Amino acid sequence: MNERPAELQSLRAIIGDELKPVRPLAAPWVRLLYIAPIAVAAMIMPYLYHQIRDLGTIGMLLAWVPIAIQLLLAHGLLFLALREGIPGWRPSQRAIGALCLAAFTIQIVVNYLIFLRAPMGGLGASFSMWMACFRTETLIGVPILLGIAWLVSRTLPQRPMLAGFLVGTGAGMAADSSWRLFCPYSAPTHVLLGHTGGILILGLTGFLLGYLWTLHARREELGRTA
Amino acid sequence: MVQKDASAERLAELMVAYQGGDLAAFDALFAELSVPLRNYLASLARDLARGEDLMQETFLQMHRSRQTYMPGRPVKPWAFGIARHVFLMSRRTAMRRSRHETNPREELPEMPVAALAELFPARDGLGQALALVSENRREALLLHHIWGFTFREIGDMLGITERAAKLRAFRGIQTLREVLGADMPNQGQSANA
Repeated sequence: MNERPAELQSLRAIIGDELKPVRPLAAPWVRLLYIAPIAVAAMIMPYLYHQIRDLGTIGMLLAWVPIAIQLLLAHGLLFLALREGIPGWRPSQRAIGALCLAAFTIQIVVNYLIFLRAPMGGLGASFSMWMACFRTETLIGVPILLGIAWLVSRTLPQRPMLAGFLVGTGAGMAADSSWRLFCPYSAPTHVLLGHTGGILILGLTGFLLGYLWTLHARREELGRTA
Repeated sequence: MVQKDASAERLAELMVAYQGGDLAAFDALFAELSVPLRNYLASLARDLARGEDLMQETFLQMHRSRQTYMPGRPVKPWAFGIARHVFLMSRRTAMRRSRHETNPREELPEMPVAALAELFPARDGLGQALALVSENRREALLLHHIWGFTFREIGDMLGITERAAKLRAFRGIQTLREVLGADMPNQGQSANA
């Protein structure tokens, strides 16, 4: 250390100049609560324009229990995304993979069970409907995605694109759990294109946000080392 | 173990003071962490001088991201996690630069392959043998056996499971054994040391 005191002095000088008290980050689950009002507002927004589907046809159990499970999994994905930004506390790839798999499996299986109990919609008749579902689900998810992405951007994600994908997928899962209460169509093509497609497009949007974040970080790094 | 806990607690207290704006706490953190961080970065970069530069960059990044330390969590995995991030960013930048530069291949600087040996001067041949261990395995091995992290902490730093961290370190030791012959302590002895 003694051979390069000037550089260490300049490091100390930079830090001394910039040193101000900062508020440490709250735990990820607490930070999730910060955007809870936005998420709740986005998820109940469809009540203003649409009517809840006839839940009697699918049964209360198939209506509410999967929503609770899917919301829990969405929270799990968002929790992992927030953890990704904390150095030394990154989630394992296995945990991420398992949670993503569980979330998509639940979403697809539940919709298929609903289809078996109350089939509605078909290939030909459903183009405008899947577009409507795709659009609405994405609109519900966007505020959640932006809220969490903002929280993640204030940390130091080491895999920003993965963090972004988790944010988008988590937001999509939350949006889908809400929108399922309104959409009466259960045909697999409609579900895969309109609902699962909405989740995937939000995941992709999050991934792209992560990519932009990476470019920004790289530009800053190049600027510092130039 | 008690000593390790006391040291971890002291680091956590210093970090909280640093977040509160205490420059003396930064000095104390620097004194505690600069050598292990420099050696860790030198082992990643396989270059002692580069390790020194990256260590300073790490402290700057730690300063910019000091709000990401959550009181109550251990400081060393957080600091090493930032060091790893700094190293990966710097490697990506160097790769991008080398892709855009028009220097002929023969003009590129030579990478010091055996720089790891300088980190382990007392153990003849260990540095060279470590250079033969794959990057993933070497990192897990060094984090556990040299810097004393638990496999769980290593998993949290690298984004892998505790079991995968254990496996990487174990396979790294196996490779070292093959390279160095039987003159190696077994993993249990080394972990308890």
